[in-house]
Amino acid sequence: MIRRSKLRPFIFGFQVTLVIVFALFPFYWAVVTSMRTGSELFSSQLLPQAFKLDNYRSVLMERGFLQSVWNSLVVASTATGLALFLSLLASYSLGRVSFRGRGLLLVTILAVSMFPQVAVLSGMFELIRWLGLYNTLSGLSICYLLLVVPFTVWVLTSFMKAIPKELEEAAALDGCGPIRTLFLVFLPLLKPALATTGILAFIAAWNEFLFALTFTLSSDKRTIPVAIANLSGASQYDLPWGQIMAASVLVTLPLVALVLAFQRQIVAGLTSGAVKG
Amino acid sequence: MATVRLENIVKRFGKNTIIDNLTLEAKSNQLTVLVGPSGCGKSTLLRIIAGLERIDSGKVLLDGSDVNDVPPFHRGVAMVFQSYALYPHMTVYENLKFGLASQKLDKVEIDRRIRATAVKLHLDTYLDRKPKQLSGGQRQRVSMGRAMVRNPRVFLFDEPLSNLDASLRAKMRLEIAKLRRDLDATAIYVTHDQVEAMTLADNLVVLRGGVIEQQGSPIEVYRSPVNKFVAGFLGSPTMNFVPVKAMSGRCDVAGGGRVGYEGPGIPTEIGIRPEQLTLRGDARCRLKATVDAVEHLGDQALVYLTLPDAPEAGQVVARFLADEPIPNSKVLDLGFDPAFTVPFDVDGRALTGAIVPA
Repeated sequence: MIRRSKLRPFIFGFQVTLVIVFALFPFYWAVVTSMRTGSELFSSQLLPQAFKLDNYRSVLMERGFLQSVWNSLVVASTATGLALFLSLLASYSLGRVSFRGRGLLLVTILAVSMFPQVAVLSGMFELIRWLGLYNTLSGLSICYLLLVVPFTVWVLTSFMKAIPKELEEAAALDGCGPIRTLFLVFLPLLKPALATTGILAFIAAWNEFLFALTFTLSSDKRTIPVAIANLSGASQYDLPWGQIMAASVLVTLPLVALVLAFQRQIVAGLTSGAVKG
Repeated sequence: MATVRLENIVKRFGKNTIIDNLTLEAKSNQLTVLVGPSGCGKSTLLRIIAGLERIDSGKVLLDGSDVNDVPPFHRGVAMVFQSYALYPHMTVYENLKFGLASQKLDKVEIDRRIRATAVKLHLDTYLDRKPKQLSGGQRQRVSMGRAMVRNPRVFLFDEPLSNLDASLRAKMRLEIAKLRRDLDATAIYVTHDQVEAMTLADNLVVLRGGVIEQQGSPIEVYRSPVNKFVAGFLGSPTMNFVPVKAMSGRCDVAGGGRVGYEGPGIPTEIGIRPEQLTLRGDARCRLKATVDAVEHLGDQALVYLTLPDAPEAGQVVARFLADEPIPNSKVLDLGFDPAFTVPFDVDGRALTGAIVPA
C-alpha cells in the first residue's frame, strides 16, 4: 500500500507529460523546422542545430505577407465583434423570453452549423457574387459571421439561461426595460462567456482556409492561411517548408497573446454573490 | 402611504388555478403578512402586486387606481427578494443607486438618500464592497436598502429572511419590526415562518390553495381559528385535536373528562393548544393520557402523549415550563381551561359556541 502511494505522483506526472507532449509536439516541430534551411529541413533530429532566423526574415520580406496579416485581423475582428453583438441580442430572446417555437429555432440555428463547409461553398459563392462582395474583405467577414454565429448563440444562450430570474425582476422593479437590463445587468455578468466565445470565434475566423481561398482573388485581399499556402520557393518543385513554418509560428503568436490577455476574464465566477452563497 | 386592494384575482398556470377569485385589502401603514404552506399562492400574489406576473382576471388597485397595465417600476412598489438578487458586478453604493438612476433625481439628492439609507441599515462602511464580499445578513440589508432608498408606496417582502441562519433571522426580524415603525410604510410580507407571521403582522392572512382561509390580527387568528387548517398551521407544536362525543349539551372527552357545549352545531373535536394543558389535577376540565416521550428543551419541556380511549386521535403534545415537576408516571392527569379551547364540527370548521365546564 505504501509503495503504491509513493508511485502515484510519478504515474500522474508521466500521464500529464504524455498529454502535454502529444498536444505541443506539432507546434514545437513547427518552431524547430522554421529555424532550418536547405537540407537541414530533412533532418529528423529533435533539437534545432542552430538558432537561425533567416526564414522569419524572408517571410516578413515576402511581398504582401504583412498585408495578409492585416486582412486576417480585420476580417476576424469584424466577424467576431458582429457575432458577439448579434448573439448577445439573440441569446437574450432565446434564453430569457419564452415564445412559441423557441426550441425549434434553437435547433434550427444548430442545424445550420451542421452542414460541412464544402456543401455550402458553391451556394455561398453565388450569394457573395450576387451581393457584389466577391474579392472583398467585407464579403469574407460576412461568411465568417455566418460560420461562427450559430455556435456563439448557443453558448451565450446557455449562459444567459443560467442567470437567476430574480436579477431580471429586480431590474424590472428598478425601472429597466429589456435593453437596459441586457446591457447594464446581464452584459457585465456575461463577460467571461463573451471572452471565451469571442476568442473561439476569432480563432475559427483567423484560421479559416476554404472560404478565404474561394472568395478572394487578388493577393492584397488574401488572409493569412491562404497567403501561407501560396508561399512559393525558388522553383516550381521547391516547397519552402522553413518559411511556411516560420509564417505559421508568426501568426499563431497573436492568438496566444489574445488568450493570455483574456485569461482573467475566462476564469468565471463573476455571478457569485448575486444570490445566496 | 398607499393602500393595496386586490379584487377577484384569478391566476392560472396552464390548467392549474393558483389563485381563485381572491379579494384582499392591505391597509395604509399596515404590515400585512401572507402566510401559508408552500404552493398556496402567497408568492404569486406578491408578484402580481409587483407587476411581475400577469393576472387572468380581477383588478389590482393601488390607492384606488387600477394598475393592471402599469409596468412594475411605475407602480411605485419595491420588492425584497428571498435570494436578495443584488447586482453582483456593482458595489453596494451602485446597487442602491441603480433604482434611483431611473427616477429623475438630482445627483446630490441621490447621494444623500443612499448615504442616509446606508446609515439606517448600518451599511455605511460597506458602500464600496461588492456583494460577494458581504455576509448573508449584510446582503439581506443591502437588498432592504435597495427597496428603502426609493421611497416606494408599498414594500413587498418575499420571504426575506428564509436564507439566513436561525440566530441572524431572529435579529433581522427585530430590525424589520423597528424599521417599519420608523418608516410608517405599507408593507406586504410573505413568509412560511409562523414566528415572523405572528410577530410582524398587523394583519395576518392565512392562505391555502389560492384562497384566503382567515384574516385578522395575529392574536385573533391564533386564539379563534375558523377551521382546523388554520388552527394547525399556527403555533408550534401544533394544536391538539381531541375527539369528543356530544349528547344533549354534554360532551365526553376522549381521555376521560367531560365538558359542556353551549351554542349551535355539534362538536366532534375540541382543539387545545399545547401550552393550555396543565399538570393541575384540580382543573375543572380534565383528560388522562399515557406518556410516550418527554423532551427537555431547557426553558420548557414537551411531553408527547396518547389518549388511551382514542388512539386514532394520534399524538397529543403538552408544553410545560421547565421548572414544573413532571410526575414520573406512565399516565398523566391533565387539566385545561375550556375558555381557551376551540370546538370543531365534523367538517373541521370551528363552531361559534363556547366550551364550558360540565
